[in-house]
Amino acid sequence: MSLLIQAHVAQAAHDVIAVWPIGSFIALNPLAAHESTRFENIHEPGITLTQTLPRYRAQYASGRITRPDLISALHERIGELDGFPVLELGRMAWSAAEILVEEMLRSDSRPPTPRTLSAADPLEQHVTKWVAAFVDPDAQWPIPGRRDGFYSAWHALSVHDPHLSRLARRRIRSLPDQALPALTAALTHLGVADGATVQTLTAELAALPGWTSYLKWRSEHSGDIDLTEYLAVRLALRHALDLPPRPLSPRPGPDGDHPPDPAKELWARAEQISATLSPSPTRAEVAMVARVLILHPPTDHPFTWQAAYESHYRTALVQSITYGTAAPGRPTVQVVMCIDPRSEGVRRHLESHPGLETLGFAGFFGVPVRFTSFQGRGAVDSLPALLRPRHAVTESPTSPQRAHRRSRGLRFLDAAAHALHATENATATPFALAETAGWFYGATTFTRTLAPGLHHTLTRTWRTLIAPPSPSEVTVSDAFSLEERVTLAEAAVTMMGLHQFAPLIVLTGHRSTSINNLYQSALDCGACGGNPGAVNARAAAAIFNDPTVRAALAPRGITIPEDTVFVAALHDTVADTITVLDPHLVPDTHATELAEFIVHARAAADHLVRERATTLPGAHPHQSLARLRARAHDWAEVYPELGLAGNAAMIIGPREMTASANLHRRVFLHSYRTEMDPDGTGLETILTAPMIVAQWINHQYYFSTLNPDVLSAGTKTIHNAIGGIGVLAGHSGDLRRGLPWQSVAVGDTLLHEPVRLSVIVQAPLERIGDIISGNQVLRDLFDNDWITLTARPSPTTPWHRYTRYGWASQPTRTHKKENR
Amino acid sequence: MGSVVFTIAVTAPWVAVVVAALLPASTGTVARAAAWVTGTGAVAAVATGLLAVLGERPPSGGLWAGDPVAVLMLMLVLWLSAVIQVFAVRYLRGDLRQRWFAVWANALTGSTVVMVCAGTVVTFTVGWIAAGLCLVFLLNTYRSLPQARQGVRRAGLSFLIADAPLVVAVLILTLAVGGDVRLAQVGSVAGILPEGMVVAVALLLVVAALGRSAQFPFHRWLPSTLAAPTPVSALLHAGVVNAGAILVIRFSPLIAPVAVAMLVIFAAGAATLVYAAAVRLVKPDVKGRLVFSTAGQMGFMMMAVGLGAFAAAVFHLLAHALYKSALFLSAGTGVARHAEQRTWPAPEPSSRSRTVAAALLATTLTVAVLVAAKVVLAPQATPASLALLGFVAFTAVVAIAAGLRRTMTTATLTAAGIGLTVLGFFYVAFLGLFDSLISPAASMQPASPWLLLIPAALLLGLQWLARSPRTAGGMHRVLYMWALAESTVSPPTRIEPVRARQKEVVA
Repeated sequence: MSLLIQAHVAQAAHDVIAVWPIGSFIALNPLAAHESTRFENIHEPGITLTQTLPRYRAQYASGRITRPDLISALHERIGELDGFPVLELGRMAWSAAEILVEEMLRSDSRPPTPRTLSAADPLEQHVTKWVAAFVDPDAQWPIPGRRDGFYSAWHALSVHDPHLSRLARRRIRSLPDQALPALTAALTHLGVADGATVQTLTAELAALPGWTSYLKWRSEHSGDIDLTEYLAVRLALRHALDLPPRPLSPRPGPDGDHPPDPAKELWARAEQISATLSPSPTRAEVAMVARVLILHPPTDHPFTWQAAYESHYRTALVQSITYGTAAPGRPTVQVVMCIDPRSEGVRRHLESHPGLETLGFAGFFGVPVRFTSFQGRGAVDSLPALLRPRHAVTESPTSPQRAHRRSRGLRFLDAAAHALHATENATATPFALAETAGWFYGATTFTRTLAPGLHHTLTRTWRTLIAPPSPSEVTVSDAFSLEERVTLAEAAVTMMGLHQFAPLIVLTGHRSTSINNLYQSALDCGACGGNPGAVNARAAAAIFNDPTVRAALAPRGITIPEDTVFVAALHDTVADTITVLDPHLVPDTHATELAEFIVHARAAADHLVRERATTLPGAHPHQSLARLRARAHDWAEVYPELGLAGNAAMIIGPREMTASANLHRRVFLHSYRTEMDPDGTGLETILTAPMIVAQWINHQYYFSTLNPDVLSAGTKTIHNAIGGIGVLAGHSGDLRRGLPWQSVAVGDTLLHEPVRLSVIVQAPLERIGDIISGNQVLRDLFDNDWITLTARPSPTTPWHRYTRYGWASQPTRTHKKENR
Repeated sequence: MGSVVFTIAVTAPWVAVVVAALLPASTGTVARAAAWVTGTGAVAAVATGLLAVLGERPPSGGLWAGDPVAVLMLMLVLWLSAVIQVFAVRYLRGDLRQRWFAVWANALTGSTVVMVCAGTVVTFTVGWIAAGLCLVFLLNTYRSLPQARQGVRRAGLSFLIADAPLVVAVLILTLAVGGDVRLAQVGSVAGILPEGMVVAVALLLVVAALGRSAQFPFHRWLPSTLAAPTPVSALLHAGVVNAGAILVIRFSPLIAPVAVAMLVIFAAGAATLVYAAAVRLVKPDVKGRLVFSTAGQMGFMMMAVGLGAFAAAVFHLLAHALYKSALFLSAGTGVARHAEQRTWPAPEPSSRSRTVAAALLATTLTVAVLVAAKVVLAPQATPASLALLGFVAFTAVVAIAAGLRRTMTTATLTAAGIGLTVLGFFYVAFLGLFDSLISPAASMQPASPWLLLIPAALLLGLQWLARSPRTAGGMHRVLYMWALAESTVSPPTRIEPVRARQKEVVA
């Protein structure tokens, strides 16, 4: 019995997406469970998949969507249109597509609005208080019996719950004290038939999607609570409170929205359109129009609009891609940056320097690590969410005295922080604490608000005085065997098509600096699991500089010149500065080149900060650079930067393709050279790893923008954090999912254009096709219109569009004008 | 000169209301302009304070009180409001409700200024009721959220129930003399009323004070107010809830001689203090912890009032306002703090001997410093002031022992010594200053300071219970369950369809 119920729970939980805690925010497709379904066939209660029709029409009026966009979107979506004859209406010739466009522009028929969420369940206030108390990472009064598990602790305590009736408490007392038997018993009491168990459990799991998703992650990572325990508490409470289980499947939409007779409705549509196109349409003409309109039911309209909206951007993007060739000769500096769209801005500005070449690669540089700083008390998993940490890396100080000085300073800070923490949280001490410390808090409130830059300078100065930084290097060779290091290096070189090595190669990870921002890790490197990419860059540089690695690479056809030095650096995406990490490891021979690069990078950063100020809310290009950069240290700033807002496409190919274009920080750029990757394994890795991460990010932004109430975390201004786990909006309720509204919009103006990712690849079509057909995830994404793929085998061949039925030629902006 | 700057300070928030309400949104500077106007008022308030120190007191006839409490509160209210508004200029950038916030935050500031500076009973009451109303409007900032409307309902209802007694009491007083009464003279009005009536009026006033300060039995509205933007919470927790103490102090010539009223104040404060401490222990969310922390701090302030230690209460009020507003505004720092502390060296395992040594050192140091401070700076000792100093001493012992137990080096020991000396002397000196500024009512019947032992013992018992679950047994579970049940705000009964919010965005 218990095995069976476990299997039922596992089946019900299968489609729950595990959501990372905000402390290491990972962008995900919130609808990932539906990826095997065609995008437009998803029915999730309360969730919108497209923008609203008025919004599309407004964009048509502003030229963001054009008539040719609509026509080509219709042709792409409706295969039958190609063979359709031209129609004569009111002595004018109309193509079928044009008639459909007329309908899209004029019709007032509205697609059914998404079903709203079901009403509040009295169960939830009970469940949420228990879950939150159980997972609290800094509990001042830990839940009694926590070690026995969630259900058992709840069972032992809730028999005393003053908010439950005597009957409810008696019922709880009579339930078993272990989760599985209790779950079985509760289901029986509730009268759930065996055949309906999975559906019942699925419906229960859908009730608090934020908590459920977090608990799934937690069960996979720390394992102190799982969905079985959670379901046991839910159903036991249902039994105790006499609440019936949630309805099995969401009720179908209100029937009133659909006219009873589809034929009549179609005829009415046809009459309406005919009347606008012809002064006095005949019955035959209306019938003719109806035959066209039947191809495009009103429920499809928003998806056609969305396709047109996306293809407008994609067509322009593809046209901006050139046939450029690589600059001849060996570059003097190569800068490898993360594929993150924000890197595009820096790369564009850095490239103004002659001899400087940039490349795009996943920001963890292929080195997945679990990192603990020197003597640190906790580790971070700095690696893509797709991987499991297997390599523990730490730091080894290069100057023991300075390391000792630093750790003495940190221990001092620790004692002070601990003293404050103890007095804040003990029962009898906060009163006198407020009376003495309050005055200083008041002073800091004043400076932090009126002079955030000054406040930062002061705190940083005294922090550096107490615990000055200490040089170190990362312990790569302990964590990776030589064989592993060589393999990592070879894979990196092949994937990014590094066909020549400059004397100075700067591996630049990225991080974002902001304070008082619970979602700061959403602005960090996604390829590093929502962490700064510093340690990965340092580890990668150490691997590439290792003479034994270089010696082992040579037989594999990769010869790194002896005068090539790899340097780790960090790009701060708020200030756009590039800081060299571990400068003490750079040999003197390269000091001048590095100094020159730093000067140039500083100038590039200044330009980029001003460029970004044009779109950043509350910023202005005329503001001083210091003021623009002080946003990083401003505790009142809810828009430290725009993060990945605007992300729209991913280009996989050599940088020459895009070198002359300004991509406005909207494109993930992964370097790739077909000739460096003869067997296609590099491309396969790119499509199945970095591209998937880009797709997660893209869909996270897409759905957060379109569903502010359910798939976005809502406004930051009412966020109420539970440790580093997540946020509530207000005093209680579900954990919020997705990105805060400030990541995608300012007020009611969107900062993020909701477009699905356009993947653009320069590689042989058969190779791409083989990779996709061999991979279920990729097939689902591309075949079901979650993302699109456009490719060309070489710079001189035309673009092709991937469809479920094979490659089709990509329409260009000069779409064949159809006569009107 | 004194009256000029005072007039500027009092009118500035109202000018800001007009500016915030009328400035066209297209300028994009509505909130900024309003904040600067209030900021001007804040500067004027400081000028008023400086002039008062130099001997030129602000107007004290007519509607205004013009005493040290008024000047201190005037500075606090205007400065906090201005700084929180400057914060909100950036924090609420682009928010469709930014103008709403600016208007009502300034109206709240203006009303509170009237209340704290009021010299007559009617002026005070008008300011008091207006401040309550403005807060309710501020809680309604995100009115599309069900939780926000719930907060509005609960706060509004509590204020309605608690303010009605104030109106009745003021009616009685004004009818007794046939006109408005100066607050300083309410004691003499009490003389012409029958004794029973005086007790009744005092108790009515106490009810109003307890309601505004979220004290038992009015403790339920405060936790439901978290669906308003953070700056609203900062204004509420740093400003509005403090008003209870001000009311009692203002009416103290009438209330203080009534022993039962003072005892009720003390008892409500003590009950709320212990209750809030227990619930705070089980709260997992950062703002929820702050809410119950505030309730407890208000309980502490009310206990001080009940003990007749008005100067200590005002001192606590000012310090806590600064403390809590900072904590609310920085409610988003938890993730970063955790990430930073992860990189700190792992603490050395603490041994029993080090714990004992830390405790001994902390106690010795604290007793030595505080006794020295008390003897040097404020040799006259009242039982209440000694009792409150006891809280400071205990806090210092806990802080120093916790720090030393973590890291015991010469550096930490020195820092503890210096920090304690500075803070201890500063505390005693400042409290002494307040004592000299704020004189207690002439014939006071305060609660006995020995009563403090009850809440203190309960707090320590609670701490022991939370820390040593093994030895506590079944009692432990029952109490935990009770605290957890009390920690939840039952959700609003009706949930909002998604559509309402979209409507507002379109509008």
